[in-house]
Amino acid sequence: MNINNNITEYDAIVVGTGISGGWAAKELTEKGLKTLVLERGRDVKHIDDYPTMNKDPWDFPHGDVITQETKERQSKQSRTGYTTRESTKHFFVDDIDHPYNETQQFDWCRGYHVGGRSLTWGRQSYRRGEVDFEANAKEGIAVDWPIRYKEIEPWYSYVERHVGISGESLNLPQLPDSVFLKPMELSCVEDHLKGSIAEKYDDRLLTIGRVAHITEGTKPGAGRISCQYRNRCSRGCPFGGYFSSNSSTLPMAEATGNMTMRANSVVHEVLYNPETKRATGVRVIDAHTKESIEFKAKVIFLCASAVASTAILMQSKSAAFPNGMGNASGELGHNIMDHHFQVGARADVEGYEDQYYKGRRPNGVFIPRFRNLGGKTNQKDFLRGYGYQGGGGRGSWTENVKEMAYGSEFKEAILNPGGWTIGLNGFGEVLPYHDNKMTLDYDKLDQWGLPTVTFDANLGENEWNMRKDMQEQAMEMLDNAGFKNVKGYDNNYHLGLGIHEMGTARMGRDPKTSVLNGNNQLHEVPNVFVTDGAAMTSAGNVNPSLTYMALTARAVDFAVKELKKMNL
Amino acid sequence: MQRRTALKNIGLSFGAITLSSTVVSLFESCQTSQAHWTPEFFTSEQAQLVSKIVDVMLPKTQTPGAKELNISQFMDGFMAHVVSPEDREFAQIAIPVVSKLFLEASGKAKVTEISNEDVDVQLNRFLRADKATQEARQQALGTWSEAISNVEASSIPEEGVAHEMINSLRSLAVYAYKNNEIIGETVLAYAPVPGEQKGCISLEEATGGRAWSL
Repeated sequence: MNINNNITEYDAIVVGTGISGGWAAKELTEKGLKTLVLERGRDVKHIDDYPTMNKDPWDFPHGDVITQETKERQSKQSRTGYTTRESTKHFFVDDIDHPYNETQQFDWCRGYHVGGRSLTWGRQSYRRGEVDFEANAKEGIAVDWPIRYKEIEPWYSYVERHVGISGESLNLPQLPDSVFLKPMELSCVEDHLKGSIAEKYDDRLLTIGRVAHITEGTKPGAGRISCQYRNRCSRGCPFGGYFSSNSSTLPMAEATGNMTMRANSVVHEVLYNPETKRATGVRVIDAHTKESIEFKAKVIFLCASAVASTAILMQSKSAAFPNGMGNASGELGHNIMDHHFQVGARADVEGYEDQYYKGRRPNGVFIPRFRNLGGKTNQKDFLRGYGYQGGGGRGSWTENVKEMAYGSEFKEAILNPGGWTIGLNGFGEVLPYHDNKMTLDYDKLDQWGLPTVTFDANLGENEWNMRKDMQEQAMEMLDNAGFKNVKGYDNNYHLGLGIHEMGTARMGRDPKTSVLNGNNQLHEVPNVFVTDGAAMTSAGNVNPSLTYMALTARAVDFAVKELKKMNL
Repeated sequence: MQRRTALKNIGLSFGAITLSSTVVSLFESCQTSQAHWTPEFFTSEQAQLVSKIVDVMLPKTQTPGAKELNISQFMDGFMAHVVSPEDREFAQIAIPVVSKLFLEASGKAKVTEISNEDVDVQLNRFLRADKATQEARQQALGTWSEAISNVEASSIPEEGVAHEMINSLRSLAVYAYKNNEIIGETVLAYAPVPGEQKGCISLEEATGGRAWSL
């Protein structure tokens, strides 16, 4: 292996370019730090590298579905059933080139390229409430969060003003309002369900999803304008209608003149000086040449995603850290969480035949958490709670059309909108279990000679009990709305499928039981920060990216102040 | 082993194509010449039969029919490259059965001799069968599938297998048709860049009656 001795020094290094890495890059460079941004995958330039952004289904040889050939290369990435399509498969890894191991099935869906999953994310954006920060301490679960809502609140506002979050203000304590752009509209049957819930329940409500789309005005970045309602988001958006690193944070970091971006750079170790007790830089393998290179910096932000950042720390072994950097607590790699879902109900809706909609809304409806919020909302069978995401629209061909069987009348009927259907899919909190873990397998190496990740995690009794309630309540709400053929479901869910993996380097107050402190700083190495999903002490029940953005901006602010005070 | 899985899954994976809604969209560029093409999955005789079947299912009216849009060619490509090995295996068993039943009933010697009228009679027999007949076919299919998974000898329930295959061909044909470029851009309501979102408006205001193509 060649060692490049032309070591280059920076003020800061950011590892990863997804939601968290993009924010770290923007904040560090805007505060004047010369910053090296490292990405293990290829470069993806906004617009230039979105090859499928304008394609219609008939522009693909077999339509926008994956072939068996693709499925063989992306067998794990395809487990969601929606992530890998002809139009999006290039933003997900090849499972043969990038293997991992499963003691129990774990769906690890990811993309190795500049922008990471910020290009393909679901864009649902919710603040966590105080109830989420207090829950562990109140219930004696795992460890307490070292921060409370009031500490993150200004940072939520800060990132929201930049990102643009569309949604409706509700003033709910468990789901604080964001700084909102105007909400998207409900379909007729969703509005019907909203009315029925308002009439029949006093503990819950239905609202439009809160989503990182511009619905009025513009936002900074690479010329971001309002969503055009094409719903082709995960191919990359030429309008910058939704937030991604590529359209927003990275071009802004670039514009400062302080960013150096290096793609195809597989970071596998954080370097450490035991005398100064500080990290000194990172070690990288060039993905193509396999050359080993070291880069030095005063401060390091690991934003490679929960699993990857954790794997880097695990590989950063030295006399000071025989079990991986910052792992004195032994918690590194443990407590892995996701959001469990694929349980709920769906129904047919009669009527509304003369009603339709316009625009392909890249968003659904949301029913915020209504369980275990005190008083009669408290449940005896499970802790925490869940929300529903879903939606109602018109299908294509229905049973009626089927009875026409075939022929000219049948053909005419299939060209018209089908019947209305509606569905509610629960998204529930997964508790942090110490036994749910990822480890490294040094016997199975990847093409760069690096250990592969092994997952060993499953849901616990709390989640299984919660799922029963998730299905029952969804069915009951659809029934109460007068919808027909209400069918509950609990599909086969495995951890990871929510693509919200988190918790493997948790924040906490005590270095003996946690990896990071309240500023996302390694307890043991103050100039190393982890601000992606690894930091999460509990999962909450809402989509987590907005929280990663806020935590990242907050941690950069802290890090730069500490640097100026010469504390790092 | 593979065959067992195939038979256990009868209707399931094909059904998924039918039911997984607008997400599934399939079509090959219609610039391909429709006169001559070499099938990848079907035999050339099967391709002719499928072509005749889908043209009766989706005939030319004021809007284009399956034949002029080369729907069967798309279906062949889809069978060859997209469907699961299990579904492919089922089709390899089932299409010859369809062919056999069509020939027997029409008294023709070759697929090339089968007329649209012959196809119509057969589609009527399968797709418009009364409920009891349909259920009996479904049941025979289930018994057969179970026998095969227990590695017992059992003769193929031809009507049931043919029914299942014709249903699957119809699902595939409908989605191929609805996602064809000509249908998608000129017959259905086509809005590649809607530019605005309205949640609940009249069908008349939205599209004037047709379904959105995207």
